[in-house]
Amino acid sequence: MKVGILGAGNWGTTLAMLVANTHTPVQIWCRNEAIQDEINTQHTNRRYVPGVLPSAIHASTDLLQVVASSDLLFVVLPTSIFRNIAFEVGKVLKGDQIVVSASKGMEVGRGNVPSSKTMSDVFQEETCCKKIGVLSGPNIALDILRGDPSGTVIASHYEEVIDQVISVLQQPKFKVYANRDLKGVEIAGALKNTIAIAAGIAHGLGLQQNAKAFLLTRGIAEMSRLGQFLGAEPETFYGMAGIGDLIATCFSENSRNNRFGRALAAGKKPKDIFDEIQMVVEGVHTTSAVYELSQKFNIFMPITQAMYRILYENALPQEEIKTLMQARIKYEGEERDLRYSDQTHALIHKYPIPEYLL
Amino acid sequence: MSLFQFTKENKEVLLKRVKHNAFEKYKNLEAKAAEDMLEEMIYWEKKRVQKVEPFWRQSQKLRYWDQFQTSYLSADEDEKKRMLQGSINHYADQIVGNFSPAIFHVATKLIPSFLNLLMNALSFQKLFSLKHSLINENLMISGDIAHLKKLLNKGTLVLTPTHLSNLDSILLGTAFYYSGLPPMMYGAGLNLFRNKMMGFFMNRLGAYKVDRQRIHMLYKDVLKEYATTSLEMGFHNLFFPGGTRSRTGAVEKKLKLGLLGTTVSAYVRNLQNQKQNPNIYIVPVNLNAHLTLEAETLINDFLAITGQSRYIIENDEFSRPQRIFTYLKSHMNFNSKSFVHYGKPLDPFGNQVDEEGQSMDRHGRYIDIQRYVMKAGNVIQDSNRDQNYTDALSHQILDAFHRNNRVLSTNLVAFALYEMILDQNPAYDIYKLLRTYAYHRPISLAGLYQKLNGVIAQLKKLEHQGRIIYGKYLDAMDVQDIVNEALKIFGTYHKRNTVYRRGDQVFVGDLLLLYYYHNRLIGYNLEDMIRGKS
Repeated sequence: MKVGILGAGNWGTTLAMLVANTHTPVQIWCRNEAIQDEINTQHTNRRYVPGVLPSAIHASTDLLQVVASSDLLFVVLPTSIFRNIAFEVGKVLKGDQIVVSASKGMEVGRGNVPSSKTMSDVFQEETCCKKIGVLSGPNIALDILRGDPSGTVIASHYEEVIDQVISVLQQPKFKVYANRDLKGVEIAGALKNTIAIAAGIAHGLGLQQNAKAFLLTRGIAEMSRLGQFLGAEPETFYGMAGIGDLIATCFSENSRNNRFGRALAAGKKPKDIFDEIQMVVEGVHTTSAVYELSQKFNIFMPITQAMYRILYENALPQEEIKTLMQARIKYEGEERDLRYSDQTHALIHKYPIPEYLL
Repeated sequence: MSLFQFTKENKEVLLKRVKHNAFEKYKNLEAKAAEDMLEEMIYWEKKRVQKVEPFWRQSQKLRYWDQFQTSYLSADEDEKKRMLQGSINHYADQIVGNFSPAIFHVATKLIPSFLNLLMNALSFQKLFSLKHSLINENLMISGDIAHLKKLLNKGTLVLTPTHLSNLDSILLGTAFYYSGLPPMMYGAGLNLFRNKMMGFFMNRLGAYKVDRQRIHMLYKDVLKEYATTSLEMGFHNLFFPGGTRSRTGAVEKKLKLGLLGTTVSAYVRNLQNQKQNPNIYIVPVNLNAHLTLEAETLINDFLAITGQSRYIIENDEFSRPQRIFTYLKSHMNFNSKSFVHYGKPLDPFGNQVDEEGQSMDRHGRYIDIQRYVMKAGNVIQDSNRDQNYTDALSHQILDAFHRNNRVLSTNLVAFALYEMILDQNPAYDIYKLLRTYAYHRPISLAGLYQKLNGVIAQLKKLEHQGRIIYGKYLDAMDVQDIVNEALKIFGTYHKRNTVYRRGDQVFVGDLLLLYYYHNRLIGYNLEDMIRGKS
C-alpha cells in the first residue's frame, strides 16, 4: 500500500513518521521547495519536528503526483485552504482511493452565510471520493514523537477505511481505535479548539484547577449539544476524540490553541501571537464558524459565544467570565430536560437536503 | 431491455437465476446459520398466518407450518439445505410477474379512452367536444425525457418515484407511455392484486408480487435477488424507494435501502460478467397532485399509530370503486391535476450522469465509476461498502425529491392556513390542535391573502436557489386566484370539505386533511422563514 500525506507541518510530518514506522512507503506533499529538499536530502523537517525522519519518507511539491500515486491519503491541511486543495485533488482522485482527514476544524462561512461543513463534507463536495475517514484524538505531535504511549480514533462508515488506517498506523506505542460516528469525531475535534483557547486564557489569568475543570466539563456539554444537533452521537464526545482530546489540548503547553489563549490573557494582540507561533491556530476560525451556527440555529453555546466576543469583538476575558457565571442554567443536565434528543437530527429533519444548500 | 422482451423463455431464465443465486448465498452457510434462517422463517410465517389468514383457514395453514417444523427438526444437514432451497423456489415462483404485450396495448389504448368516456358522459357537452382528455389536460409531464431515452440504450434504468397513492403505478405507466419510455418491471404489494380488475392488469403488465407481511430475511433476500437479477438481465425497473405511500403527505425523508441497494449489486455483477452495458441509471421521479385519493385514510393512519403505521392498508379508498370514480371525476372537471417530473439521472453511487451515460462529480469532471467497486485491481462485492454507497445514493434521491417537489395551490393554501392556525396557537402540535380546534371559527380572507403573499415570497426564494419548483402556472395567478382554485378543488372530492369560504371569511372543515396537504411543503424550513427566524 502507498500512503500519501498532504501537509508537511507538525502533525503531517508526525503522521508520516508513524506510517514509516510500519514499513509503509510514504510520500508527503509540501508547498515549500526548501522543506521538500530538506526532507529528501537531510531527512529532517526542523521547522516543525525535532530529530531525524525515517528514510522511507519522501517529500514532493507535486500535489497531483502524490495524490495519484497513493492508495491511502491523509489530509493534514489548514481548514482555510482545505477546499481549494480538495478541488485540485479532485482532478486526479479515483473512486477506489481512501481519503482520511486529519485536520481539526470547521469551514468558515462565506459572506454572511454560515457553514456547518466539516472537512469530510468539503472533500465529498469537491471530489468523487466516497471512502472517507477522519482521524482525531488526543494527539499532541511532540508527545508522540517523544515516544509517549498515545491513542487515536479513526472514524468512518467504511470498514475498509478503518482496516487500512489501522494497518498503517497501529504500533506498540500508538493505538488506533475505530468509531462509526464520523460526524461526531470530526465535530469533537473541531470544537475542542475553542475550549482549548478558553483554557489557555484561564491559565494565563492564573486560574487554578477548579476553574479549568469547570470549563472543561461545561465545554464538553456544549460540544455535545451542537454535535447532537448536527446528527452526531452524544457518546462520541465522552470518548477519546471528545473529552480525551479536550484534556490533552487544554493541559498541554504544546497545544497551539492553548498557547494562543495564554498569550491572549497576557494582553497580546492576535496578530502578534500568530507571528510568534508561526503555525495555524484552528480554534480562531472554528470559533467564528461555530458562533455563526449557534446564532443561526439558536443553540445555547455560552463558552463559544464568549470566545467569539473575545476574539472578534475585543471583549475582556474577565468580563466574559462574569457573563458565563451568570448563565441561566440551573441543572447540570438541563440540556437533557430540554429534550435535545428530539433535536438530534433536527437539522436533517428540517433540511433533508444537503447542507451545502443551507 | 424492455418488458416486451420478458418472454416466457426470459422469465424462465430469470426464475432459474433467482433461485440459484438466492440459494448460493446460503449454500455455504454453516449448519447453525442455515438453521437460524429456517427457524426465523417458520416463526414469521406462523405469525403471518395468524395475522392475515381468515380464521377458517388458519388451523390448516398452521398445521402445515407445524409439520414443516417437525420435519425440519428431525432433518439432517443436507435435508435442511434442501428445505431451504425448496422455500426459496416457492417464494421465487410466488414473486415472479408476467408481461403480456397484447394486454399492454389494450391497456394503453383503451383505458384512457374508457376513462374519458366515463368521465365525459357526465356532461354531454364534453362527451362530444373531445376537447377534454384525461391524459392531455390532467396529467402534466416534465423533465429531460430525451436524456432518459438516450440512456435506455446505454444501460438499465431504475425509476424511483415519490409515492402518494395506489393510483401512482397507473399514473406512472401512463406517463411512461406518453413520454415514449418503455413499460417497466415493478414490485406491487400483494394486497393490490386482490382488487380483481387491478390484479388482472398488474399480473400481465410486469408487476411482481411483494408480500409485505412476510418480513423474514429469507423472503426479503429472494425479493432482493429478484430485483437484482432482473436489473442484471437489463430489465428497466420501477422502485418506490420510500417503501410505502407517504402517510403524512410530506415528501419522503427516508428511503428503504434494501431494494435500492440492488442497483449497486447488479452493477458489480455486470462488471464481473463483463457485460457490454453494465451501467445502471437511477432516475428520481416526483409525483404531485392537487388531491390524493387515499388522503383521509393515510393521515388517519399516521396519527392513529404514529411510528407503527399499518404499512399495508387493505380497506382504503383504493378498494372502493365509488371513491376512485369521484376522485377521477374531480380530476376531470375541476382542473385538478397530477404532475410527473423526471429528475436528473444518477449512477448507483449518487453521482450525476450526462447524456452519454458518463458519471460526473459536482464540477462536471468525469468519474471512472468502476474504481468504486475495485480493490487491488479487482471488481469485488463488499456489503459494507455497497451499503454506504446506497446510503449516498439515497441522499441524492431525497435531495432530488425536494428540489423537484412542485408547489400546487392546494398545498400552498393548506400551508398558509395551517401556519395561521399555529400563529394563534404557538407551540401546539397536530395532536393538541386536533383536540382543541374550534372548527367554525372564521379566518379572515384578507389575512389569508397576506399570509399567502409571505409564503409565496419565501417559496420564490427557494425556487431561485433551485430547492423547489414554483410552477409557471402558479406564477401567472394572484393570491385570490390561487385561493379560489384551491377551494374549488378541495370542495370536489373529500367527504368533508377541507376548507370552505363564506363571504370574506374562510373556515377549516377538516383540520387533519389541511395538515396532510400542508405537509407537502415541509422540509424546507419554510415555517421559520415566513416568521423571519431564518
